[in-house]
Amino acid sequence: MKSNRISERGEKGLRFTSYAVTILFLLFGTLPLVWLCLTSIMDNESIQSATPKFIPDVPHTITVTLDFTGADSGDETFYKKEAMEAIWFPWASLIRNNIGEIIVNGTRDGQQLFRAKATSAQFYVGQMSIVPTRVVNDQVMKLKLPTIAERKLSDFEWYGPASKPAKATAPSSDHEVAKLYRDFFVSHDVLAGKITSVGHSRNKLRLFDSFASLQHIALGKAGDLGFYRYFINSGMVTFTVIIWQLVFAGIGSYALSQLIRSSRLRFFLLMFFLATIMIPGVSILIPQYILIKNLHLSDSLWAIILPHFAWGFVIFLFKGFFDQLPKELLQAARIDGAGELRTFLKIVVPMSIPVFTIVAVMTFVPVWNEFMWPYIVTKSPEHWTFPVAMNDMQQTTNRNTIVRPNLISASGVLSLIPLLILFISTQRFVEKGINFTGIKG
Amino acid sequence: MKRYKGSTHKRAALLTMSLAFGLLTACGSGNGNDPAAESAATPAGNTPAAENTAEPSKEAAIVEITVWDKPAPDAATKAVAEELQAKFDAAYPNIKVIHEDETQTPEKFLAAVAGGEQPDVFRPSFPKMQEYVQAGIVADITDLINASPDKDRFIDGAFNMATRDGKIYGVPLSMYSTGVYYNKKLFETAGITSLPATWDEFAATAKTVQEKNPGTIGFDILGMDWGDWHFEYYVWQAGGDLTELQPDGTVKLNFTSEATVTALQYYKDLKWTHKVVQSNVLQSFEENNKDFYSGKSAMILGASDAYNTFVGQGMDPSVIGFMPYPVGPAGVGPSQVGGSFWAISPSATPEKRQAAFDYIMFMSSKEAFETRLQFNKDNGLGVNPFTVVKDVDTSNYVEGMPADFLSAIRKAAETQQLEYYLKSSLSPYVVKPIQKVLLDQNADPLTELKAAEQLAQKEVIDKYNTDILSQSGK
Amino acid sequence: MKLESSPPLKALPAPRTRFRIRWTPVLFLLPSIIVFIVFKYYLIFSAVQISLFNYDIVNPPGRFVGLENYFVFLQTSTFWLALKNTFIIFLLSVALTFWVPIVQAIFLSEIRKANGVYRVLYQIPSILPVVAGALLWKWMYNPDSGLFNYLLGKIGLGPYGWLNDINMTKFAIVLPGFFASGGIGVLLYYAAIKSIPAELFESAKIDGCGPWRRIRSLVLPNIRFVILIQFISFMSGALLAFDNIFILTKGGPADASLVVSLLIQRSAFEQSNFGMSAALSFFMFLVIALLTVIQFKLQKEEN
Repeated sequence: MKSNRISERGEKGLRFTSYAVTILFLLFGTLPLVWLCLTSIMDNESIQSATPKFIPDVPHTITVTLDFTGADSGDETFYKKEAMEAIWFPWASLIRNNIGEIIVNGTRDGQQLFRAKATSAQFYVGQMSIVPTRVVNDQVMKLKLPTIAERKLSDFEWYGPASKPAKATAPSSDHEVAKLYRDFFVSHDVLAGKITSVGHSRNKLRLFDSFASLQHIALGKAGDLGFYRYFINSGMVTFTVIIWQLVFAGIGSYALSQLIRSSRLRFFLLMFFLATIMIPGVSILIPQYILIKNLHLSDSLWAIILPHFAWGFVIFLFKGFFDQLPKELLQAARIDGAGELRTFLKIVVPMSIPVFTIVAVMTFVPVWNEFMWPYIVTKSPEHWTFPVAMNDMQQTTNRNTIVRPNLISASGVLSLIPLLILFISTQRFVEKGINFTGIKG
Repeated sequence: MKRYKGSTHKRAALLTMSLAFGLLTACGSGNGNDPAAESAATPAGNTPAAENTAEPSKEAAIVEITVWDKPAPDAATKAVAEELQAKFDAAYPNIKVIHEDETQTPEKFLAAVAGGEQPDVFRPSFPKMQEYVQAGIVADITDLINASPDKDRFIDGAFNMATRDGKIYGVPLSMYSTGVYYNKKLFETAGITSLPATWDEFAATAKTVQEKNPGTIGFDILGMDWGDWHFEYYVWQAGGDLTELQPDGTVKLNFTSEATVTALQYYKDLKWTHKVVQSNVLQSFEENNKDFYSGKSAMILGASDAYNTFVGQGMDPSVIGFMPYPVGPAGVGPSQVGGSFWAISPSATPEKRQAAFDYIMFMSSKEAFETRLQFNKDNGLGVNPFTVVKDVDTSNYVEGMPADFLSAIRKAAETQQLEYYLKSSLSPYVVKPIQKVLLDQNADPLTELKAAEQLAQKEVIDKYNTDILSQSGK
Repeated sequence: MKLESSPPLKALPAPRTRFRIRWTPVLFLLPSIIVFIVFKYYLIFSAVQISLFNYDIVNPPGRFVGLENYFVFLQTSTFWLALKNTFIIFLLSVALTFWVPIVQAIFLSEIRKANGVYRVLYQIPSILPVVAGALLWKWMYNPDSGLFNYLLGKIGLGPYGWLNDINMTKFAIVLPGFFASGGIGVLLYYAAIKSIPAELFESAKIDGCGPWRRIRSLVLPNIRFVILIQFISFMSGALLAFDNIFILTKGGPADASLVVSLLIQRSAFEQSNFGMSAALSFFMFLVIALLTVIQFKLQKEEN
């Protein structure tokens, strides 16, 4: 670089300090996020343990062979009930042992009858409906079968008798969790079949079941799109607000900055817009609700979108940048006979890409993360935005779920993804703007 | 987010009454099992009521009411709720019920009220009921109740928390009772054979358990912002109460009474002298529960429905013990009873009120209660031995709950007391001295309470009493 | 407003240029003005109105009480305590967090290698929703199992009460902001620094004034405008902070972190006293507006 020829006093020290400070801040800043990501794939016991753990424990897979040779035979439902009992009842007792999945292979006379499986994503979503207490008997499980099927809380593949030879049973494992599993059925005699082996392994995929759980929960509420519905809603809200800000706040600020000649009026208008950021949000909740209701917009995405249109800070920011535009350039365009709109579109906008990008990013974050207002104004889950849905997942009241810290973390991680994508994709434009010397901060 | 859960646990209060025994599970704390969560989500269109519109009855027009009681799609009791709902629709073809999600936060509820969209029927907890009566958000339904043949089915005192100046504002929905949970296993390792019956024994027991089980805590105290909820029990045990309702309707503060000071001193001793409580005294109610079900703390105060939470989190039912409160200097240890009511919107028209009341009474019928109990029994749902009506014997439906747990709950519920009056407004003032003594070893209970009382008197009570007197003067 | 008071122009066959100059700004500004009137001024007007009543939400507006709500809260010591706490937390935030992105940007501008990567990384802490961030920190502060105390323990300090210490609570509330304050602010400052003409830097170097003086006398004055923008939004953000305090402490312990925005929430939604809540909010609005005007005045004098 050119400037290197003139070396400064203390330049080295400055460079060293720069790196040190930057890296230190980045470390501190990202530490909470690393923790968030880690906890999203940890089991509850590790998260809550007295000495924090940093390495997630890979969940256990229990593979059970249930042999019906010699037992009374029944129809598919009978075996289904048996399989579900072998999965759900012991799991409820072993809930604190970080089980990732239980697989049950049903055999009879050397033939495989069925294969059933539940993952922790399914288990934790259904736990409070299927095994809320320790009542262990056939009757209870029979009543639960429709719920399991309807909410897809377990997989069950039926092969039927004499259609698939059973694989050789794996040897029983001595792992502690496998032992606990066997012990459960020693004290609870509910199965008609006989447990011939209990295998143990670990499956890394099950680490990510907290994310899968979220989708399961959402499917029940927001319709077929499940979790994506919330993303789409949040996206639509955020997108609309950003468009409005870029177009109307942009053009308004331009007028404010360049077209109004009276400096008094300019100051008055600037204050008119800016003063609104000093209104405590919580204080206008009730009037805003009444207003939206009178506009017949309650429980719609518009109810969330519209109030965001008025954001004084954006206008303030825009105006600040437009004020720095070289007046001569605009004057030249006008002399050429260009209308104001044309001047704005052809001259101002291309020069102001960085401001527009910054406004878009700045709008994105608070709108995407807003919770209280969307929560109050929406009733139907199909209109929920992401934070509202996140809140719902953490509610324990009024429904039979228990808050799981890893679910909270997982939803936190998910909500970060769009923002990350945004930052990485807009970086280029911001940088471009930075290189543009026509604008001074 | 997490924070809004708070209010549901705050519901607490008392009814003096004989307790019938009933279904297992969450009454008070609003888990989906409470009987109320069960009236259901049949979409308004496809019910018998809809058919009936095609074939209109000549006299009565269709009355449409909104009820905030839709069960969550994943609620365990969704099926029975919808079943009862369909039955109601069949029995009352002229009433069309629209079910909406029950809200959990005051923000959402009050916004709906302000927007003129208050549900015709909603279900406030005990303390919220008092607040809403004061704010005029619930309808006076005295006449409807007095005219109802069902009135006497409710247990004695059940209407107390919804009654003011002789007017009744709500129909009892659910109830719970409180006591001390203990971990039998930890007690056993510590060699404790008899349960503590007094304050001194309680502190000694906590100390022993803590010493004999390294890494555990003797007792999880509640010092968070609902700290007054558990603290009031200690005031009762010391023979007093935090507030006193005067005959003229005004309220007198008793923060500096001997009982209150003694109770706070005991809190201070538990923390600083006996050192038997957790280090994070401000931790949330959920974190206290977590300590208990994960075997980290040996004792915790809790409502009868907490049993389900503990078992649901993998605690072995045979380890869960329950006992009445150890008695304080006054020799008493009453249990606190909380719960919730059905309430009707004051802006509902008389027709809607009647329809709403019919709906509530249908859901409070013997058959409705028994249907729900049977469902819970068949489905292995849990434990709430309390019911608000006399004609339902819940003991027929209890299953899978240790017998000694049940009898301990019964015993704990023998003597009971209402939560202190005006709790929802005074809470922050009471919590302040509690947190002070739990966090500052040098804080003096009397001094702190005196300051709190002065503040509460000036900022809440004076205005309240003036309002009350001016209202009654009219 | 002046511009709108010239309707005859439309009727007259005015010269084109005049017409354009007068009406274009109105058209350009109209959409913004409308949404601000409807969604801000109308609402704050309603709130002020509510503050004059003993507001009855079922049959609004209830009994007119004039300024009584204002007098009532001005006489309670809880309010003054909350106001004091609000300002302490605000000052702590200024001391702990406001300057952080400025420093980050200044040092970032001295780094040439992989500069873009650092800028992206700086965004990450700030995109965590406030609510999620606060929950996370509550976790980390936990004296028993919190990560923060664990790390302090490793280097021989702690465990420390943080939120459990009446004297420490306010600091513990502000501290997370120190770590997460990067964000868009860094980009704004960075952009501003980068747009300082290179010649100025060159001549500063030739003058041999050294990097530290260069930062003080060249960089800082040139980004003053961005600092002002940021400070104004920072100020209302810090004085009205709610979510993080609500989650971390709910105003406790023993009211040590009770701030006015919590009182606003409490009086409305815990005590159903909407009149009082509106009065408190309008008061806060006036306080912040006053501070902002002072800011502008100071800025003007400096210029």
